[in-house]
Amino acid sequence: MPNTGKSTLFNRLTGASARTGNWPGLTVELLSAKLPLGADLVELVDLPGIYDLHGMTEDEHVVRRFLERVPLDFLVVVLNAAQIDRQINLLLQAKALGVPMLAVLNMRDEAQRFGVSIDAVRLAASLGFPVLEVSARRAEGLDGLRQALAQGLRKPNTVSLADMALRLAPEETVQEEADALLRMAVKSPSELSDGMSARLDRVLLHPLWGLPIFFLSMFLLFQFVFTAGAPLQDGVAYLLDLLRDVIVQPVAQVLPPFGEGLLIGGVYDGLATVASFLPIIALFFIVMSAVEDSGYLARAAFLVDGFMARIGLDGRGFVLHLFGMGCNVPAVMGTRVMRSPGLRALTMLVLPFALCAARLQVFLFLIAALFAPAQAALVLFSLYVLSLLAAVLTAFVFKWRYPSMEPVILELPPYRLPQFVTMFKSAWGEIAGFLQRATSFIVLGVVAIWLLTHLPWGVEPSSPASFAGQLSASVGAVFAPLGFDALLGVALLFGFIAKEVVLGGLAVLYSVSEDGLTQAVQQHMDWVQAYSFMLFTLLYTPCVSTLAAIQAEGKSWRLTLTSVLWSVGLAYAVSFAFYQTARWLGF
Amino acid sequence: MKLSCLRCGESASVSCVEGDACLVRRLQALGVHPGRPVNVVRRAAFNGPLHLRVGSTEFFLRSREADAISVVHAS
Repeated sequence: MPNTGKSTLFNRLTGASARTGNWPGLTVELLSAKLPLGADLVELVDLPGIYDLHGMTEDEHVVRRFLERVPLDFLVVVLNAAQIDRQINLLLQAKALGVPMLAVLNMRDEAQRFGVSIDAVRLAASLGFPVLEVSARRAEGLDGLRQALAQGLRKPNTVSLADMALRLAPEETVQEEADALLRMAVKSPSELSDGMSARLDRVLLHPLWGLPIFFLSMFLLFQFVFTAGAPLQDGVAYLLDLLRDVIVQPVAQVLPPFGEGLLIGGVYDGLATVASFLPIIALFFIVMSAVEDSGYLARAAFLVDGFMARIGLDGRGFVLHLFGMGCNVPAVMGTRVMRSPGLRALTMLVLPFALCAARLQVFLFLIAALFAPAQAALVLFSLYVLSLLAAVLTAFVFKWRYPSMEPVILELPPYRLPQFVTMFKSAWGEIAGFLQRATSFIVLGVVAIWLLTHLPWGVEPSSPASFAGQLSASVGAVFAPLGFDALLGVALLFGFIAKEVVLGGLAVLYSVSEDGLTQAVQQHMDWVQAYSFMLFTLLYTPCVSTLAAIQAEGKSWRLTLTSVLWSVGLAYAVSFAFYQTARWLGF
Repeated sequence: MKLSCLRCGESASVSCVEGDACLVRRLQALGVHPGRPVNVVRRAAFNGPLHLRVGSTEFFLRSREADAISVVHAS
């Protein structure tokens, strides 16, 4: 079941050894861990939370496919003790499979708060398998659970995979049996509310103040992530520079100059790009998992769902978009909270249009160089508005391609204090996942750009004679209607690595230091060209790290390619329209 | 009558749940069965979703999904 604290329980039982892995015949990755039980070592797999063993959501299909294909020894069904009145059906469905199993009634502390009392002994007696009350958050009852698991595992599972597939098919109703069990073993008050959540909801979901409170709290969290993240990123950058100067550079010197350049400018810088994302990803997921565990993410989705429904997204996409304004990469990874594949794909297409901190850096520089201070704020504001418009347009265009089939029904769990263990485990897990999945993609991207700017052999780097220079010369005619010269085209190529590299790229191309870049830019561009360039930078292809995240999460080259082609096309159309109109008007 | 006819804060008894099979199963799994009392806690701005309480479970759903649920006033 979702919202039963299953992941918390999994973490409590397995410690730090969990890892995600692929299973035969399944499209999603599942978390699994080795768990020592007495003398044995067993593998514990965390299946998605489901409502209904015979249901039709993606998660329910995944669980059925897993049960049909992977031989298992024992089944643990985790329920929320406070919601046993409706969750007991799943228990009866699982019992019908005939596999050795036990039931965990988690959150017994919360059930007590609600006034629900359960006679676990009687329940176990009539069900014929152990029923254990635990509280994973408070680490209560876990030893008993381990013992029961060890004992249960002694009895072999005699149900073959073929039998399992048969037993998963029928749809008998278990309602009457469930009602009888509930009457016998459960006492619960007729009106259930813990009071505290209802009171908090009256303020946080208020028709007038609800939205302002939501925006304010998101703003504060955003500020926290990126103010705390900046010094950490600086620290990582400092360490990486130190590592390069002290170790990598001297070692690389034994290589011929070309090899040295490739190693440092390609491979090492690629790895450094990967590393520079780690602090932000960690902080983002610490905050994100706190927002999710507290129960507020579902509330935020409730508040903005009315608007988001119209563009084919849901309220959680809105929260992710706000965080995407810091950095798109963790926002794309965060789409994992959505279970419907169509909704996730659409959200991933929209997120790269969030004006991230890297693009902001480029814009602030160009605006300061080419616009009067009085206009500066307005220019920047216009870019933010455009980024939102581009996101809404993208959602509109693609909502038919990526429809969400699953009904929009989201539980609003009681407010809970987030657990530090869960927050840090989530951050750690995401970092490990990002390293594992995105590293090769990003390093390859950076190496490819380095090769383009440093080949053919012996050419002056990034000069018009290099492949990059030749490429931009050959596509120069394409960029001319946008007001870009060939050098700007090469700078945009750099921007694919990370948008802020556009500036460093420009400095190299104009053969000036970064301090002299303001003057150089003023000589080479007027404001119309600069604004056109900013529009293009705002919209064109997600950076290589964001693409790596989209590919890793969506596992679809088609989606990744769509993201690139659509955004480049949109960037071109918008820059073209702006530049030509401005010139036609005589600016 | 349809669930969406209820005002915020009102309770009623579920009389039937019908519509798309996937939706019906999902609602049943959340405890929406005929005879069960359901409480409309609030509605979000901009014709947004409905916040419901059934037993110990609270959730929200969009108007389109809410139309699958018919209710009668508890006497």
